[in-house]
Amino acid sequence: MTETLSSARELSRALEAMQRQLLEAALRRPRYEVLPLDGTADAVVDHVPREVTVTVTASPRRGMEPTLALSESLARQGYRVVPHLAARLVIDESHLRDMLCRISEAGIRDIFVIAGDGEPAGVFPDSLRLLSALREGQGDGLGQHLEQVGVAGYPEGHPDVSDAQLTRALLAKQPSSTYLVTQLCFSARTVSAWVDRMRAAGVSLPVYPGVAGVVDQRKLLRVAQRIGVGQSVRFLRKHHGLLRLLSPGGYRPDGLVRELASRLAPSADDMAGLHVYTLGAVAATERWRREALEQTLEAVDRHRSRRRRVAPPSRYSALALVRHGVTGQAWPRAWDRHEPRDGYDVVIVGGGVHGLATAYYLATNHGIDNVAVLEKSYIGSGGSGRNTAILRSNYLTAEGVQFYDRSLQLYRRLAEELNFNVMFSRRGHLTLAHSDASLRTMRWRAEVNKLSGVDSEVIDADEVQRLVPYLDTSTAARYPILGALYHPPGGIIRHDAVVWGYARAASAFGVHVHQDTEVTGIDVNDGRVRGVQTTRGPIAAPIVVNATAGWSSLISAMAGVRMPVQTFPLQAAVTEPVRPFLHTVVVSGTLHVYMSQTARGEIVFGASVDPFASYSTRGSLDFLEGLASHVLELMPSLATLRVLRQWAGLCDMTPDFAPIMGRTHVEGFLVDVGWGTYGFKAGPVSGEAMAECIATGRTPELISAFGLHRFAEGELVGEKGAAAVGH
Amino acid sequence: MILLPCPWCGPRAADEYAYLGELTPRPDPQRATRTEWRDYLYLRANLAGWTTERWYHRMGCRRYLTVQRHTVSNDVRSVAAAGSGGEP
Repeated sequence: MTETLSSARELSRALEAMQRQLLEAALRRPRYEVLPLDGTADAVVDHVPREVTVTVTASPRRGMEPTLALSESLARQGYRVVPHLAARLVIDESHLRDMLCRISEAGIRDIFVIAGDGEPAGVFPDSLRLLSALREGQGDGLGQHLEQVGVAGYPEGHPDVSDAQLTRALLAKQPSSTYLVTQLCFSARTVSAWVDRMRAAGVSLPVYPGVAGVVDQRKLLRVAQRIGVGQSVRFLRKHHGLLRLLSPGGYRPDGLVRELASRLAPSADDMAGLHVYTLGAVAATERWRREALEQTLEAVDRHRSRRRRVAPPSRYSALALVRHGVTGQAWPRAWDRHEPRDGYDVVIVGGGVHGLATAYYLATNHGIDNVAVLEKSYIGSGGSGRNTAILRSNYLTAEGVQFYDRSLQLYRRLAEELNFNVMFSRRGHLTLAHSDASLRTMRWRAEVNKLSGVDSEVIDADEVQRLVPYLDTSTAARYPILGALYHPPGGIIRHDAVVWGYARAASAFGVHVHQDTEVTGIDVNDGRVRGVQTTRGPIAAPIVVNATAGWSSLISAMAGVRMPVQTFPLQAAVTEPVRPFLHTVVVSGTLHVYMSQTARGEIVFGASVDPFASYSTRGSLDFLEGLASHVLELMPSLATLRVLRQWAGLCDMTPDFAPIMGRTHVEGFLVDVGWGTYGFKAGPVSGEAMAECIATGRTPELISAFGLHRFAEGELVGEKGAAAVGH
Repeated sequence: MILLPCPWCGPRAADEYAYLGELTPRPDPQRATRTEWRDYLYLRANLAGWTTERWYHRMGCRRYLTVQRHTVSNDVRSVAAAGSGGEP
């Protein structure tokens, strides 16, 4: 009985997780259907990021040419484009061949085949006939470059064709197509019932449900006029549901999309993605998508915090503060102490932000709570407590930007999620440019950032002066400041609090955090991990995660995994506290320093790693002298400020300045290491991705580029430019 | 920072040198498989203890040196001209 209950609970948990993933994926990479009108190209380029696929309709009045021209132009701009091929607009096979040639040359690998309205202009009266021609022509290379061919589905039926006929046609098209896009729909129930009917009839193509974007009345009428009144009237007759759009205030597909995800979640193929009919309102639809995506991510967090805790810790709040203050009652332990069990489902080596976040997300996102985090010292004693706590996402490659942006999003909501004040301070991040070359790279970075929706801009020296009046922006400086990359979402956080918050929350969900527990060996048998040996005895585990920094080579070596890692000390220093005067994070790549002022008023400085590999964490006078001279180049007025202390942390540097994440050749042994000088800011997103990797057995796309195998295959990551400098 | 005793120039600060990393025997480029070559290029023992490594005295005699150093204490046990023996 209990077993059935718990498996039913697991099932419903898994289902919820799938729905959320589905919704998030659908909103992250939807398809936008656009009309081939003047101005569409500009609207798309101005508003739509590259992760959105753009499909271009065909207009019966203007023929295929505008569709092809717009598709080519958008493909050149770096979009994944799907031109619609309307069968009735194609004259003959040689016309078809010409068009496919152009499509191929534009690098387009996906087409959508429809019948089209009006009288056939040539030999193809419907899409089936065109698909057959494609299939027959395959032998002579017709459409050989195509990877995807989509066809339309009609959940609400078709005014001129019976449902039985539609199903028969779809079955006939199935061998020459790879996916289905549904016509505009307004009811998730209709769509899911239709999908069930199609599956029963033997149609197994992945389905992209089609929904209307955000459309207001005037816009709809204007578009109707532009594409010709006759057609729009037919359009409205076909989709009587569209009349709902004409209600005042316009239409937003939020509820529909959520319901689609919840109804279609059990099979990924039933909602392979979202097809959004923008109906000319590209900008409004994109705004809606961003908001909806943001809301989805927030809903995920709310969902998490609602989840039942094993032992609810007393909530930290103003009220609790008063109560404890008045009664003098002691605060309960933030995280529990346990004797190690004989075995766990997952053992994580390393009690820093990466290891603890992985444990936390395993418990909350995936319901895996038989987890131990082993830390040889106290939690946060390694890199997590030694970094300079700077957060940013202004990287150079699109992958890097998206990765760190996700981390920043998680950090931003972390205090609320963990009920722990992590003191996140969004205060803007300035990377100074001292040469034309670095200004050029910054413009590049700013554009890459903007494309991914991350706020970054290049500002000039005057603007820098306004933001940080104490900087020496005169041209007499040894390295004059020419401008800066300004990244408003960047900021600082209290790194210890992040570690404590994750430990407390993970512990509340049943995770064991074992401090003073050093791993001395890893048991591997038949290429599989069996467990670990520790200073507190052996612990069996089918999955062991190496989430250490500094010692990552040594821990991996215990499992027989060699790493492309060299350990370098990175030093930092902090001054006596002074009144707040520095309200942004300031980084100079040329002088290789970065500085920020903490909430306590101390100035925290960091610089580059020591010039040789070492496990020593002793500070050096050399470092302090070099740092001081560089800081004074930037801010001469700090000359009288005294340094309170300096320290070093260990950084595992990889050859390409990118981390190593995911599985290894030893089954059950995973790594989340090689985090160099940029590991802290990636903590939450790494934990989330590693948890997903462990729970699902699949490597999430977000970290797929960071596998250990990339070194054997020579596929190194190109993030050195933005990761190496300006931590 | 540490002092490294150069056999020609005497004890000098480590930042006069270029640290070229731990010494790993190079496979024969003519015969090495791609895997062997990439292992040689990227994989490191990264030991916490005594290691044999290559340094280059770039701001001094500009000679290549073989150094035995403890990577935890940074103690240096021996410094010799590269190729004079003691390499793995």
